Amino acid sequence: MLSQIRTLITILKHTFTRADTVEYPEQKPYLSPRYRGRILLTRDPDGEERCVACNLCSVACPVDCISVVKTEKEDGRWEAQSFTINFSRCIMCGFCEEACPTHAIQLTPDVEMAEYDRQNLVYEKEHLLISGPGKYHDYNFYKISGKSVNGKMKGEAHNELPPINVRSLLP
Amino acid sequence: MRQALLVSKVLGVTNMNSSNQPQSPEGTENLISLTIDNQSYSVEKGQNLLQACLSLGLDLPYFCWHPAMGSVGSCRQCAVTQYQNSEDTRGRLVMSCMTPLTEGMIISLKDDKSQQFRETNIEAIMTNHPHDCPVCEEGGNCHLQDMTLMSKHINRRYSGKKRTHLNQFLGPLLNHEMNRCIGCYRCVRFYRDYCGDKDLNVFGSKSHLYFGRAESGVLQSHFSGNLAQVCPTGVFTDKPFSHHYSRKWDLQTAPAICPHCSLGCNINLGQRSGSIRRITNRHHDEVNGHFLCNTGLFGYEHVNHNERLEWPLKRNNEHKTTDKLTPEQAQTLLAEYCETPNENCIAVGSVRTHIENNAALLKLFGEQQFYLGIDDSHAQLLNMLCSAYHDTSLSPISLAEVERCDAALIINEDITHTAPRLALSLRQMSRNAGLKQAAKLGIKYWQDDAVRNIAQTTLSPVHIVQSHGSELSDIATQSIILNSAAQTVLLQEIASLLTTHLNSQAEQPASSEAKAIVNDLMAAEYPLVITGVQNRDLKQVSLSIEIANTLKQLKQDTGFYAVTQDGNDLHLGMMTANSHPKNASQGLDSLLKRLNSGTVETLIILETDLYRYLDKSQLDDALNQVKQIVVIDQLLTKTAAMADLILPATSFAESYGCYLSSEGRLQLSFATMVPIEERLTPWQWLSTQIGIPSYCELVLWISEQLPQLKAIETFAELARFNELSPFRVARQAVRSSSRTAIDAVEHVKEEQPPIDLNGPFTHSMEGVAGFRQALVQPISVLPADQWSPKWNSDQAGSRAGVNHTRDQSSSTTSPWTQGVQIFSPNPQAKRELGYQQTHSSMPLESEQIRLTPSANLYADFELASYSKALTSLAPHKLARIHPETASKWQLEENQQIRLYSDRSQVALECLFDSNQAKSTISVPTNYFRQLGTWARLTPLPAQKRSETSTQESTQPLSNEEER
Repeated sequence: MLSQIRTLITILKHTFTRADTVEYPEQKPYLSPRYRGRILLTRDPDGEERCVACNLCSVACPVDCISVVKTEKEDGRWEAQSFTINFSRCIMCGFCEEACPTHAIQLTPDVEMAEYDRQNLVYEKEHLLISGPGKYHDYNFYKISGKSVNGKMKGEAHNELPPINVRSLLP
Repeated sequence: MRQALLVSKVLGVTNMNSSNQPQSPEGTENLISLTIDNQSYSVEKGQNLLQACLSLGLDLPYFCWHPAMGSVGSCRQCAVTQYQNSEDTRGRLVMSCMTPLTEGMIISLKDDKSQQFRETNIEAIMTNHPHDCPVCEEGGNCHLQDMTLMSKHINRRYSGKKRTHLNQFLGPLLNHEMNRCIGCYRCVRFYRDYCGDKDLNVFGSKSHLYFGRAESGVLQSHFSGNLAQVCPTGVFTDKPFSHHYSRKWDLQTAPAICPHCSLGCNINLGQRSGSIRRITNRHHDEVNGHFLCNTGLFGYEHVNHNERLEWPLKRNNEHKTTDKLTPEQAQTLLAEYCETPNENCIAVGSVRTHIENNAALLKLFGEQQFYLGIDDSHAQLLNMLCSAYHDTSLSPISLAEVERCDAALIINEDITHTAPRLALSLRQMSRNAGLKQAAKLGIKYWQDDAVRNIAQTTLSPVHIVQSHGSELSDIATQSIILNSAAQTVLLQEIASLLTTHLNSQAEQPASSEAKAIVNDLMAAEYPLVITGVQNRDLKQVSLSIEIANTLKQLKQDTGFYAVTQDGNDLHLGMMTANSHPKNASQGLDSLLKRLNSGTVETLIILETDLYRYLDKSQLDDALNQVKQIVVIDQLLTKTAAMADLILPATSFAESYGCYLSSEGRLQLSFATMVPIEERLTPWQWLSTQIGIPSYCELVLWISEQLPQLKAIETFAELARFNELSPFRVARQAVRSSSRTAIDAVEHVKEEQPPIDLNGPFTHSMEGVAGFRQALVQPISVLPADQWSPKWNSDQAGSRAGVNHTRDQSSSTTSPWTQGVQIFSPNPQAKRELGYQQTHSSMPLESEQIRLTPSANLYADFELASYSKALTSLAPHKLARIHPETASKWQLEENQQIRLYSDRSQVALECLFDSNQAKSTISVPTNYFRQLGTWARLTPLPAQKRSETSTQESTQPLSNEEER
């Protein structure tokens, strides 16, 4: 008896509190910049694609919804020939972003991706690629790695000595 | 002992078989006991400590040691603490790869001191290693990654700058990225010491070490591709693989057999999205060991080639079109074609298909109508070899046994090109004299530097009798260059000298060469005779057999190896041997005669490009007389273009089937991927006609019908794997990725993975993972997928000389992994060669010249020639002639000559070569096949030269310098 009255009081009290429910399409909730929503591919500060098709996002993905095929530019730069994310499978876990060694793949606070046709949830590289660097403004993988690409020869990367002259007699 | 077994069982190291089997007395004598981290183990004597630890399944990182190349102790990564006795608590650091095993030794891997040392050591090794892993082909398949993780070095503390290097262009097979080098010296030790090639070297000192060529250029070694696996990191990476790259964990793999030369090397085929991405070596103790030749490693492009046939095609003569058919329509049409009376139907078998497919064709048409897809003399040689193995006590030995021999005689076979892996084994064999010297001084075989220091130039005797210079001449005691008539004389001398030894008669007068050869063979404990069919010389092969046979009676342990020419040609020697009188061959020359008789209505050609063997115009005429030509092939060859009905066949990557190597080892090759719907295995195309619906029944039919191939019945159980075992084995790694995205662009709904009812493997990651397979006893096949935690890189797969501790149980016994040796040595059959000595036709007309084939491993193998990277390495087609002979024919250097016989004709530029036997001329193997052994020669007018030379001067390779 007593517990029933207590329940009633608790419920009645709620009549006077503010509603938590939001009128969604009209009123949008705040999603922090770190919120894990739609995935995109970014470019480095020089405007080149950051993705090097290393396949680490693909292997980190717990639902196996990322497929990357590697190709190589003439200067030796690795690049994704195709980059597919099947968002109908994606669980927005962000493992891909964590795994990405070049900060190419990033999750954004955009969550409005609903479609009537499931096939439309398959995003390819042209749908994913944006023109800016996303959350990480300065990182440029090829400026750090030892592989030479156009605009960065051997020895010009971060923390590198000039190439050794093998024919020199000096020790 | 008991405790050791118990311990190892708990650790999941030793297999269950060994604990069930009582140890043989011999086995316990060979064992030595030692204590590692307070656990006692017993291991085999004679190894080094590192090898012992690895074979026990312990995790001890290393770089410079390699099971095939021994230890040099240069990387310092395998340090362990050794204790003097049980009271000793301090111990001392030793490099385990340089430490021999001693009875009762006490060591520790897990103590702080050695762990700390290994961690610091790898930290030092990594100071210059670039931040490259994401863009490195080795990433995910890297020994350095594995070892770094194992040594627990996770944080870079060194803030100094990294040294850098410029790269070199090393040809179409390998990328060079010197920044990644950790200076372990493995590449030069493999390239120079193991393979004997000279053009890769190490330059500079300290942190300036540079491993490369003196200047950019194509690596000359036939085994250069192995550098990608030998290098513990990504300095040398597989270039063709990089062009269609996929991480190791994404490759779907299965154990297969190399289809190119006749050695039957074991390979792992890796595929992704329906195309073959790469081939890696699959360790086989007796055959290929740790290394493959370049042709084996890179000769897979034919599977992905755009000339692969995808539909059954029918020539429509009315509308002058080619019609696509469904497989059902094609089969009905085939049945229609085969309805004509049997004697008007003819079949041509193939040397590049599985045994089962040839057998199906044989069953359909009978032996009288079955022709072999090789020339007549090749067929005769195969018949001769098969009957020699059957009638005499001779049987071919394995490559591992070749490496154990201590004197060799190579007769008229350029094994560096026709059987490259055999040449590599022979190179190892030549070291045996030096190893023996070292052993006398108590130096173990794995002390690589010390052994080489003691051996210096000491080599076991290798005598080469050939018609042109050999690439093995640097290890040869004698390299005798003779033309075939002089060779025959020499071989007869050797044979008669050996006979005098056998009958203990007084020595006959003989040439000094022959005496030297016989002396060396007689002094050896395990002499070896190598011959081959390359030269199509019946006389010499029969003499070689005679020599080996006589030697065998003098020395029980005589080895013999006869190299045949194609992936699967030896079994053809057994297919027609039964019903035909000896030496009445059923080769392509006979086929041509039969076709020209005009009675043939239906001709079925199985995976043979007749235009490779026969002259175009002659063949065109002959084929035009045939009413219907059916071609079953994988690729649109010239022959297929002549067909009225083309049936697309599966490649070796898509079908199960057996190969018979020239060693007589019958091995099953597993399918790696599913064929597209329209492609069937050749025997499946014929299965309704022959009334054999299943693989199992076909195999049983073969074992009944061809007594020499009886052992094939072992493989009949293939389909029963699924009944016998509750487990299936996964072809894909547990890490396999992008399953739900890879086909999503076409169709977002995921399809069920294709089901393989034929064998034990699944086309998905469901099933037992490769690295766990040893725990699942009923399955005795090799692991299909190549991924494993911790020891993941390709080379770690062969650590300690065993293909992972995970399949020790199966590796010793199972025919699925080891193959079946069908020529068992027959000690009863003592003597008398069961065949007549044949006379090779030797025209005495002076205008004819003896041709010899100049083989090349990049140009000669039909399927490998679809790989662009390999064909770009093939040499220009030239005729080589000795200057003296040339002056006799009044030829000038680089002059165009025309060679013609009644079989074919060809125009070639001739090159003077003093390493060519006199009164012979060597032509590329393909031309040799078409021309036969004798040809007439006419010089062509000189003005033609300029045209062709400009044509040929277009180099296939650009020598660009890479950054």
